Amino acid sequence: MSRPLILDGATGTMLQAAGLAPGEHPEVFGISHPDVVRKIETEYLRSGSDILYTNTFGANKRKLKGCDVSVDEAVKAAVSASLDAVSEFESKNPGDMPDFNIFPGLAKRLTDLGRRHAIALDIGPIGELLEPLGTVTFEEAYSAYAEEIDAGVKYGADLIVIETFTDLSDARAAVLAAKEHSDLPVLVTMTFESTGRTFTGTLIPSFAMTMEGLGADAIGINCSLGPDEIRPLIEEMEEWTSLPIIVKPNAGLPDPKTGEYALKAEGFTDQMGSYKSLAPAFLGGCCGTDPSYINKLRNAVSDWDPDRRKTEIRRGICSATNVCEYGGVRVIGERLNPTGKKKFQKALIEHDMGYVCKIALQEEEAGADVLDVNVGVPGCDEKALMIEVLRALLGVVSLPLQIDSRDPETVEAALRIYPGRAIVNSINADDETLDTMLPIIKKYGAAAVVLCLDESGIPKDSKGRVEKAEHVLKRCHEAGIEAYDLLMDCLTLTVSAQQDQAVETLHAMRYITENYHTHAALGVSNISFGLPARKHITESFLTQAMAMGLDFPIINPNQLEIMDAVASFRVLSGEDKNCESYIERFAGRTEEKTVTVSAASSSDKKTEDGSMTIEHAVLKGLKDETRALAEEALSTMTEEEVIDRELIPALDKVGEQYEKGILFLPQLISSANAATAAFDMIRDRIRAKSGGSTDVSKGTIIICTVKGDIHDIGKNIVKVVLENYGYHMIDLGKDVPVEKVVDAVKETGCRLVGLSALMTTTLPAMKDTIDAVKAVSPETRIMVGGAVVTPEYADEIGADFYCNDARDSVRIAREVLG
Amino acid sequence: MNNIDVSKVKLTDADRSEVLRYLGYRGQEMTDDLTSSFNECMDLVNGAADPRILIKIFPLGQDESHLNKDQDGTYPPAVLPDELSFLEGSDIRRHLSGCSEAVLLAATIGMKQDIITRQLSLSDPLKSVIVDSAGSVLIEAVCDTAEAYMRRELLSEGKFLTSRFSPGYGDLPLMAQEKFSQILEMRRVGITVSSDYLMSPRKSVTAVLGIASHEVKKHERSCASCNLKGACRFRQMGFFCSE
Repeated sequence: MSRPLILDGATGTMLQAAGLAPGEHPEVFGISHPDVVRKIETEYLRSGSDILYTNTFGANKRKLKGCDVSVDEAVKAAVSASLDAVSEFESKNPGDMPDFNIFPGLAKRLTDLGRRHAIALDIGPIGELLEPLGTVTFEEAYSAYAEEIDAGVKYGADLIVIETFTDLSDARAAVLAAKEHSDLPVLVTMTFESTGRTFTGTLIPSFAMTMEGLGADAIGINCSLGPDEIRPLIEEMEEWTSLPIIVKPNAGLPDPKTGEYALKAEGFTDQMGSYKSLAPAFLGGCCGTDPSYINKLRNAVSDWDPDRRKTEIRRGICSATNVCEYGGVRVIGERLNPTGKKKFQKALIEHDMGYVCKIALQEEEAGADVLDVNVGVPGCDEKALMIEVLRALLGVVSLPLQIDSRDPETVEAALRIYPGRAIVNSINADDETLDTMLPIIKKYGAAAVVLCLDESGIPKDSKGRVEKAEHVLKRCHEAGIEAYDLLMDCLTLTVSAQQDQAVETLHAMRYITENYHTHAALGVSNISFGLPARKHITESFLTQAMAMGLDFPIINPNQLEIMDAVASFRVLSGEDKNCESYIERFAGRTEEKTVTVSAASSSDKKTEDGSMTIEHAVLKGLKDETRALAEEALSTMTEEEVIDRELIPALDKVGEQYEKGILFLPQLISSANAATAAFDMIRDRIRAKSGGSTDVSKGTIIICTVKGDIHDIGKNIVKVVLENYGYHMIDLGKDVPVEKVVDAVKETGCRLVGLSALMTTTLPAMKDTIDAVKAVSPETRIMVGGAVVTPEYADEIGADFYCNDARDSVRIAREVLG
Repeated sequence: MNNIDVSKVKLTDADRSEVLRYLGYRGQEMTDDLTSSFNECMDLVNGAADPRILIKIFPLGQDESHLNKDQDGTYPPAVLPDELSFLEGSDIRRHLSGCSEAVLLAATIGMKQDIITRQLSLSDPLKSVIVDSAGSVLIEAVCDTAEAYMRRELLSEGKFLTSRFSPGYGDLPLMAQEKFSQILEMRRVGITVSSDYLMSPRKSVTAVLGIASHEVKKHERSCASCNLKGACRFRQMGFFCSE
């Protein structure tokens, strides 16, 4: 490239100057004022823009809703205005085509069309948040972008530019729509704050890695800040991508008093001068800039060389808000897996996403760097379940995820919605598997765990496993997947059964990581199966494996000794600089012990005579004491007796005191938590006694916040309290569609449903849900609650009960379920 | 007065009682454990907070007959210009009666608050409830700060500011959020509005205030016109939101 390509400046600022009213749609204005748009585009051409953005920033069906203008009409008018401006300008002003070789085929396309300026179809965000932050689904966003892109292609755009996005998931939807609905080059810029994050928390490395993985042709930053504020962010971005870089800043920061942008054309161009050493490929202006800025910019950069970028790139995997960089040991948490785990299986079957998320949060807390997600339960729809679990996890966990499935459809569906770069677990050397999986992995830019085996089984020695790895490496290379994105799994076999195999695994791993610069993954704990004191073998094997190149151990991060081994290894390998993490880890552990001691001696934990009853412990919200006292009580009473004679009466007392105002809400919840600790202990005992077949439950209750409503604090309180009374709660979450409630009722035959709504606008959804549930299951009783619900309204919409508070729900549950 | 810096607004010790009030506190005895959870939650909310605000002033263009009192001593309902016609209903017109300009305001404490609330609702429901209430108090504090700042600035010009009136109050429909979002370009502070007219981040506020050249009586929100009447947690507890 001979110099950076020049984009245009603001369109909105120019349209406002030409009469666009605040809140008016620029696209609608453009249809009634094509001459104004054409004039603006012409001014940018005159000022030196090589690429014009069309006036289509908000030309999607969600933004144009209620405007009487279709997406097709809006895009047609805008692209035509740009094309007209270009042909008129070029006919009067002969010149040479700039160097467009950065996009193969673009120069030829323009030559064939007889133009030397390119038209970029401008795609702005739909303006609503995608799940899990908002309520719009990925596919809904995708379809809005696809419609706009189809129109842009039809009316002759040369490029697609996706700009001003703040949500990585949203930007991914637009990029995928662009890649699947056109062959045009795709440019993507997001809007970052000076913290290096977008408003929704997306990190610069996450953006860069995800977009490069998805096949974007150039990436960068636009809007929000001025050139000086954006420069360090671009510097960071260049560390994480080899793609050409786009910089389109605002005219500085807005003046705090007047709201006007601080930089004039000279100041803007001066600040842009500092980008020369970063060698960006595209430069332009965003809000507050006009043709005079672009003209000065164009004149200032004619001797810049966009090809002078540094070559060393940092890599890794990521979620939108968390980066796991390659280099050093990275722990993959293995607990999100139903294999051999009854509770987890049950949670998946009952769609108890709260339980799944809790496990994930525990793994995150324990220091995992990546979470493996496996939802393989016999008889369940794996793809649907994977998507459901991913949606739930994305709302609470920031760690990058590893999609654990052999089913290509499940993997593709998961990668499609995953906002980041995930790991696929797993592929192997079987050609049939590679034929289906490699294109999927390449398309979504994922990393992959590679099992060193094929359809004929696990090779007996290290040489055989190396050969399998080499075969996969060759196939991946052909498919455009790099070795540094592969995690070779040389397979752990149980040492008590096949003692010669542990060494083979380690040797194969060392050979592959040293010779092919891949990573290594390994499920470690299998090694010790069938042996006593398993943790010694597991720990020792893990340590040896890490010394042989294992950098992605797949382990249970909640096993303290195992994580201690990782922490120790990080010190010895030099990764943990100055042993800081190690010291912090173990200093924290002693401190915790001291806290427990001092807490126990605190004065408000005992009654006056120094002894304590379960009731007292529950009323005071003391978790550990309640559990300990319940355990003590079990020496003289049965499990059922402790529940019925101690815990339930204590909770009744709590409810009574809450009603009277002696306790307030946080105390009610503390008490409920304390009782839970005892309930959990008792439940585990009953389960252990009966060999896992019996469950203590007073009955099942389905609970949710209705469609359109995202308030769930009240619903969560009701859930906690009812759980404590021994009811089995199925929590469907918030913003729950009518059908989902109906399905859950049908599946479980549940006799009591609790619905919550906090807004007058969502009350109709409550009525719809009641009607639908009653239609399929007339005997199911329904209780409703939430700030806007009144007893009269509950009656009117056909609810069986009105719940004023959590205490009410207990009364109702007793009445219905006993 | 297009921008006000609210980035430093945090919950202070003085806000504790307000957070407690949101939680229904009426002098109950607090254990040490609860007090420490409470303090931790206040810190969590302050740590997550990224308060931002957008303000835009619109001339109402009302003629003399609307800026002077009627015979009965009240101002006639305001007539709104086209660009504000999306503010439907009679309550907002009464709120802006006698005013020469309207301030549209949008404020938020940011997305991180939502994320920690959601995480805590799984790992520690007690803290999630406190964090939620603390967030509500903080966004009010952000709005109050901006309002006080504007009121002071206006007073120096001999002008007066009404209280805040938000979509969802009285007969001003929640639907107004969408146009609010466009006209203020709320994306610039990271606020989006869903198709159900809910704002994200959750702890965000939009409001309309009037500017008048005469003193305005502090507008008492009336329970009679409120959507929440009959289910108001303040009334249930024996006091009012305007107290």
